[in-house]
Amino acid sequence: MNKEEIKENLKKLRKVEPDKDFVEGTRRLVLATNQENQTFSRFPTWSIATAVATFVLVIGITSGSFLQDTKPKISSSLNSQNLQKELKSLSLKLEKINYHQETNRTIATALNEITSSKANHLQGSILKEEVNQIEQFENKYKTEKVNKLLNRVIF
Amino acid sequence: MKEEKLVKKAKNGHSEAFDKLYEDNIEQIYRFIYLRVRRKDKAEDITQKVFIKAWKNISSYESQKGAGFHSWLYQIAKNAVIDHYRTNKDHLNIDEIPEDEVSTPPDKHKKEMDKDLKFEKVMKALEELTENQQNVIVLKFIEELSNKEIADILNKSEVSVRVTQHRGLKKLKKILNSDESQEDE
Repeated sequence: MNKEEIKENLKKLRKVEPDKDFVEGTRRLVLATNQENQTFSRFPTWSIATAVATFVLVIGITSGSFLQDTKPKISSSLNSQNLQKELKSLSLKLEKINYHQETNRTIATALNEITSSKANHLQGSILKEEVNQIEQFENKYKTEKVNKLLNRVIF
Repeated sequence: MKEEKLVKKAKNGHSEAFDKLYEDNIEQIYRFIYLRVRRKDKAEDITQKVFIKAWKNISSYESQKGAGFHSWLYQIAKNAVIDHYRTNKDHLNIDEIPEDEVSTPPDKHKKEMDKDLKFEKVMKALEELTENQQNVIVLKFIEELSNKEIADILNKSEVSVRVTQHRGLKKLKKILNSDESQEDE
């Protein structure tokens, strides 16, 4: 067999073909696969530098805004004058709260007593009876004692 | 649509464009792989991996003068075959493989080839060549690529490709002729 015959025979191997089912199955499988992230891979030489730069930029922006937000708050909260003011206003508020609580308690007690049937000293009939007793006592002892006392003083 | 345009679209994530590229190249890539591994199941497995890798990494593909998209696919396929042999060092001899796994061509083609001449004989003869000689012979005489394309795929000079081609053919001739003389005896 010479070289030309060998070449001819090699060409016949072109008849090697994949199965149709395999071709279709692989097509579906390949196209169902997600592509790699194109943003970086499109610029392979820049990808690492871009990633690092982006990271630094993000860190810079976040930390900058964080410091900007927290700086005045920290300094003001550490100022002793401001602390004292805050303490005073806080104690004033506490006093007010105490006062309101006591008032509420007193009012509640009074209301309880009024509504309660055990508050005998406030019942009208008992009060009248007491008034009568006092008047009788006064009428009985008043004139005698007063006269005696007056006599003693005058004479 | 031209291959260049299809590649551009596929790089932008158009699966339809890649589908067309797949359609245009699947046979050649499968055949190249099959003739290197000589097992249908392995060839299918590797071919699948090649196209998945190509689709995933198409954004990194840079077209070069004289070398088309198929050259890039052949490069991926060549590396996939190398990986296959690296991870399966104990690969089977063709004689040990069941016949149904080897007989990839449709029956009518196989019969035709058997009648004409010895499909399996040529396959066996190819197997006796070095890895580099096999690549060059398959790409040159079966896939009919230019020496420039082959050089790009195999990362060799054109001169080196021509030398390998010459040596490969010479070796094939020797193997096939010795087989014939043995048969005659």
